[in-house]
Amino acid sequence: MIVSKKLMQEVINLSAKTGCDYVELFVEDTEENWLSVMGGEVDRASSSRIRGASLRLALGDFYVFGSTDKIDRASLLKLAFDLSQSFHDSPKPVTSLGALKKGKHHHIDIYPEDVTYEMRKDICLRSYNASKSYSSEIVQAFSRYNDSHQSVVIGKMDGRFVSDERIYTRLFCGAIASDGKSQETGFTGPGRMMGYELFKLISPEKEGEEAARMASVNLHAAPCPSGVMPVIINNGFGGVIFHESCGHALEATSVGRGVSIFTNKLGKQIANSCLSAVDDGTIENAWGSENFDDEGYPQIKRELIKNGILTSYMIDEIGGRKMKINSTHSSRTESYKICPTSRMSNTYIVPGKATLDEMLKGIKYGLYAKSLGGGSVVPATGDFNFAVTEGYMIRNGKIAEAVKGASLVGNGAEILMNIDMIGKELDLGQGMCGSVSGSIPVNVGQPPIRIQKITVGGKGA
Amino acid sequence: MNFNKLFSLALEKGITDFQVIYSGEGNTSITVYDSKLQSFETSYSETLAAKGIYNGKMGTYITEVFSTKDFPSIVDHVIESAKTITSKDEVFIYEGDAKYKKLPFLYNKFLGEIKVEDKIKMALNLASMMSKRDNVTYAEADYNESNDFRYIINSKGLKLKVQNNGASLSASCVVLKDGDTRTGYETYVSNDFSKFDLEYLANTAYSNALSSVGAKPVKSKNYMILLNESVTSTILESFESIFSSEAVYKNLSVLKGKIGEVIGSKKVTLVDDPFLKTSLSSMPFDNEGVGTQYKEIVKNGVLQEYIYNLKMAKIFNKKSTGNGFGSGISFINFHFKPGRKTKEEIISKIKNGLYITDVQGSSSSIDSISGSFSLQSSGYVIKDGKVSDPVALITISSDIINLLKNVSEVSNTLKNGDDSPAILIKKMSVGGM
Repeated sequence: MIVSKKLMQEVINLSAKTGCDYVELFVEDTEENWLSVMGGEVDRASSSRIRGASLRLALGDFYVFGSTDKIDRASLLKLAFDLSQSFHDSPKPVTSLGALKKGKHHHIDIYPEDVTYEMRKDICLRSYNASKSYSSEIVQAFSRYNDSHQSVVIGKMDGRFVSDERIYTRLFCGAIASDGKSQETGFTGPGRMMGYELFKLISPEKEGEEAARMASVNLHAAPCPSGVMPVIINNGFGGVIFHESCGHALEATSVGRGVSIFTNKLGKQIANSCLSAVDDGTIENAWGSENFDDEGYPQIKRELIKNGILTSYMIDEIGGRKMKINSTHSSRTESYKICPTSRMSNTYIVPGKATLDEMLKGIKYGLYAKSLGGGSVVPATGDFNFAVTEGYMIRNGKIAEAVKGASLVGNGAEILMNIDMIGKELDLGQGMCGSVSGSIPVNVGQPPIRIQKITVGGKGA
Repeated sequence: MNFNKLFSLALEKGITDFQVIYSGEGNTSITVYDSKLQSFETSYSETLAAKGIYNGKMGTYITEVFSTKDFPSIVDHVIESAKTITSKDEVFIYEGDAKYKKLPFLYNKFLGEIKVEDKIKMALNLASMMSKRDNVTYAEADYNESNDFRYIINSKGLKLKVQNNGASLSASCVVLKDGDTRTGYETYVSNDFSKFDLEYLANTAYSNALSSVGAKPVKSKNYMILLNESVTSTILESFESIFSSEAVYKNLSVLKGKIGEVIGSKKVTLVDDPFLKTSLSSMPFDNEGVGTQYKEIVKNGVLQEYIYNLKMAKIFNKKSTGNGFGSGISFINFHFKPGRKTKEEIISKIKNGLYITDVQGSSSSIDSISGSFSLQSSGYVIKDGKVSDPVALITISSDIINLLKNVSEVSNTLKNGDDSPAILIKKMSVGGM
């Protein structure tokens, strides 16, 4: 244990003395390692460690939060005393911490502490070499191995006492293709909440090759033209469109303040009836999964939209107090230094029945977005954007020439109604989502989907 | 803290040169909305970043756990890291400059003496000034304060310390008018508490929201575009890596081999000014202990120089420019040097154009390696020299070199928090209707 159960209880007891009705003590110890290969040489190999605790006290929907890297008895008790000075109410009963519940839904084979730099180097070199040997146009390639082990213990005033071990492993591959005049890039970044066994599932060579293939396609692509047109978005990371156009606006951080386009829309139609979507934090070893959320509740599967009807928001316990709705166990944070709040886990659009040919049929002029980059949204207006990292024009129902440098912009409320066909093959893509409580691993996902019209921006004519 | 034992242990185990950066970071934040204090947050942590040369390679390790009993493990981590590096580039621990510039404005001791109650009161007042206005459905005020220190100590006798503090006060509001919801935002950054002007913040956030009611896309085509201060800063900062010698060395920069060449219009002068009084990121030395310096990177459109840390300076046969941070190279306050005309003068000469006041998606829709970008934008139409109808949900697309070559005016305006002035671009592609 990072901090003894006895001390955790003492901290909770002292915190509760001045009348708050919620105490959450979050203790974390995390080690992270990375190694990168550029130009065939290991140019970076290092690790880092953070260790500390945060304490949150609330009464109703008002809270105070404090974090510290000093986890000795005196420092933690001082933090509890200082925070408790914000409350002046009659003390509420404290339930003693129960037996520790350990999260064990996700099995890990090879923990980062058992992975050597040599093993990481081998993976990176394999993907680097695959990128470099893809074609003579690939002038540079790089690859980076990241893994981390986060241990958390959460104790609360209601006796809840849980621990979770979160193991993440990810490989980034990048390639640059050049013809001497211009240069273009390709990237892949597969990851899972698992250890080194990730490389039984994914091949470093295939990832390196894929990055090189994308760079090469982009080198020969013309700048994407601008305009409003139908767009087919491929599966996998394509799901970033749902993450931006809808996901963020369903989080308590925006809905709870009344600043989401989907405030007061539960039970109402917000999307085309062909669309259903879920946020599932329980998928075994998935990038956005965990055993418990950061308020100590077990992760669950949430049905967000069913046949176009909004069925659930994503809510943390403190956010739920403001909304007078129960938590959906969606509380997450980057680290003990940042106060947790409602966040996504593995969010995806449920598969439908359409084939790619059926989607292409009838599109005279449009865009096929085969691969997507990140994006962003302002939940209050619903206006969002994301980048296309590999795209092709659609001409007369057929996928035509490659185009580069496109971004798509739209409004969440409109776009969800404009998604008119949903394909069969679901795939998930890994990303780091940045929001109020920092940067956290999430999966986005979808089968291929068709949008009747959306604004495409590019510098082409 | 005393690190003598750590240094002797490192040298005993075969590390030839060793350096630690011991830093601390404290933050306080206050959030007000729905007319009441919603939350009060504080955080504090200290970090030790250790690096050392072992068999000619630089090993590194960063940790928050560094009491005396952790010293052996820290040294082991540094050695493990060094053993793994295969890159043959020569690495350095620096003995220090003869003297460093003093930047007393980085720390204002009065900021910490102001009572928390007064900071909360200020945020409450700011939120209430906005919520009283017509059509406001949501008003939020956020106060954030930071207090940092950084020591650099190394085995070559270097011992440096710098202390910073700063605060920001932000106003955000949402207005609903004629069925249209719009947001407005303004922030002010300073470590002088008396500088926060609530009236200005509330008015600006509110008018930003209100003036964008009814915004819609314009037709897709090329436009003359004025980028405001914050948009110019966002775009330039997203492309700062192309000026890094390391990116050039690794074949990642479109500016490779371009020193002495024209890469922008005559109006373009780009500088890195680490002594900028209005910036909380100003600093006297980098993380390698090299004194920072004012430099013109691009002068009247001609690329003068890349920026260097110690390792890249050796490779390029140059001196470090004091831009060594983390394990790489970055700018401190990189910006366009202001021109002579006011923004109003520039606008008054535009017959048909757009004034872009906000861009979104800069982390994903800017490709610093190819140089291209395509950004979600909003702002206003400029017609016959006047700012008129609001515009939203469009994209502006170009590449950095084209943008620099098309700069036809640079304003004399500098805004708090943004280092660059507004710039006028002759022609840029817009995606809209």
